[in-house]
Amino acid sequence: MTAAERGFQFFNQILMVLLALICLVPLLHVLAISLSSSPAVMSNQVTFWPIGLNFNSYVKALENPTFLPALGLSAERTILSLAISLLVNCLAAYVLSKGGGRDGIAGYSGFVGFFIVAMLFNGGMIPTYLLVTNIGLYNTIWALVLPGAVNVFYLILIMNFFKALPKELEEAAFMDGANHWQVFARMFLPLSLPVLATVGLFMVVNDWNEWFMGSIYMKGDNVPLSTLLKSIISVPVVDASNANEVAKLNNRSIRAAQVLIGALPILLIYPVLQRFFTQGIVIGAVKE
Amino acid sequence: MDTVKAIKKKEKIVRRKDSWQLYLMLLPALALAFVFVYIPIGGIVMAFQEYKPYLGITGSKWVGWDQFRFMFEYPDSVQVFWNTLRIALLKLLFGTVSTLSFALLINEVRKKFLRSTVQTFVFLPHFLSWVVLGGIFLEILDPANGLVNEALKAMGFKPIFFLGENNWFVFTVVASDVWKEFGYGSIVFLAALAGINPALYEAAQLDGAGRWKQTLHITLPSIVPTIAVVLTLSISQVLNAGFDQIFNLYNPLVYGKGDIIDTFVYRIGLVDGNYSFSTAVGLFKSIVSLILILGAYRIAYKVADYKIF
Repeated sequence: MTAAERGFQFFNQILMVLLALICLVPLLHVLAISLSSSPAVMSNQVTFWPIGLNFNSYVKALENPTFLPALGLSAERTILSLAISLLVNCLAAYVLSKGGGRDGIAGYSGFVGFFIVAMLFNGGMIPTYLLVTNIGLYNTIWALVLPGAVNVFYLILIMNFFKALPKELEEAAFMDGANHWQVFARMFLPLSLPVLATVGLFMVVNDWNEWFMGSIYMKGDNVPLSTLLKSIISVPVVDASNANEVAKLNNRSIRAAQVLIGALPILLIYPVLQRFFTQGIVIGAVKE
Repeated sequence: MDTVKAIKKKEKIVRRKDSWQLYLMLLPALALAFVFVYIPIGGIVMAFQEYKPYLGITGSKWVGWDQFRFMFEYPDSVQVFWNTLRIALLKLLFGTVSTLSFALLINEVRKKFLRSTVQTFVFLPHFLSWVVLGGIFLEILDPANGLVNEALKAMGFKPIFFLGENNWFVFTVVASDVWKEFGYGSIVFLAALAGINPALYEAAQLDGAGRWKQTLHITLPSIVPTIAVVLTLSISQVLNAGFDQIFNLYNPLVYGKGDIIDTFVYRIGLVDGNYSFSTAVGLFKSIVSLILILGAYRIAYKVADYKIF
């Protein structure tokens, strides 16, 4: 290695560490604020390390009577949505992965067209909103689960993975008298764990983070956590001279705690599934 | 030979008989997509009506192209169109440059542990919602006592009202989007870099090419198809400036340059209750987007053989 290359390596590594820190610093700052005492926060002493360490703002956040039910609704919605969405998309992907030939279904290209149109076009916000309310889903958990259950992008990802599985395996299973359901459940699903983990991670993240449907389809306090958070953080931007400033300052720690509780599930599952998704995306994106 | 044929024939008969199972497996996806995508598509006739909720789609007055004419004459919607284009193009430009540069630089890091640690942290913001990040940015960008302005003051600068001043708002939206996505977006480039034949580098080394020359003559040309695909596909997104992000960051102070088509459709439609006008604006956006998407896929297929099905 030449001196120039060593120099490049050195500065490049420093740059990379800096970039990683830039991605982390906003989170660390908010974490420090959530754990600091009110006077320290009010006098802007807190940067990345809590001053006057305490957990009061977390206790206060959880004492809020709407917070825990919202957390529960989010969990229910995420689990229900993951189960339904994964099953529906995998089933369709299994069928479409067989193509239109001898192994597949008649009218294959018609079905493909049907899903592509569904991916590229939609009625827009107002017609969809009117439909969901008209069929009686308003203020039920199904309004949060069903409208987005079919996701053609995930369907394609799973389908491409299914297509890559060796054909001989399923031929052998059919020879042994298995039917499609058995091949799907006992062979395709277990062999597709990397892509299922990837798509599952995307689904969980999307459903946990999604707040907009919660805000238009749910009523009053019966909202998922992300929607509740949205209403908590969207305090109008005020000028420094405002008289309410002191009251707002006191709330900074609580708001920080609420935001971090909202992000917690993502922060917890992310490291576990991280190794899958790079792999999964590459498999899904690269075609033969 | 005959037995093989006989088995194949028998298998064929069995397959045809049980293909009803395949249709049954496809049914849930078909039904859900039909109800939640296709039926609302029928609802776009509202764009050609003066829709009144108590009259419904069948009873509301038919006004033809009036909503669209109104849209092109209404100064706000013209402004909103340019805002959308400005924010989306700035994001596309800075996003692609930052993502590609990061991919090339992280790819040069030889220490495996450092590499994967850095990647873990830079991918993370992608998975946090704009609601959570909105909360975080409101805190650190606060004009009176946010971290960023404290730092600016300490360095002798005037505090900046990042989320309350039109031009700074556009800057903040673009910068925070770059911050959130540069790491995650690099995955597709890293995959392309990993696919380059190592023999090319060995040959170049024998010819006396240093790392810089190798980057210029091997690495970059090898990932041009991937860059082309990423760019063409993102062109189809130029009317999506990021509803989620802007909705979580903006306020009436920055409607001037911060209001985009999607936030406009929301305010006019669901807040002001002007369903027909909002649907017309949304429909206009969908049709332009659809044309862009089809064009982009066609180009991506031509330049890089990219196809989705």
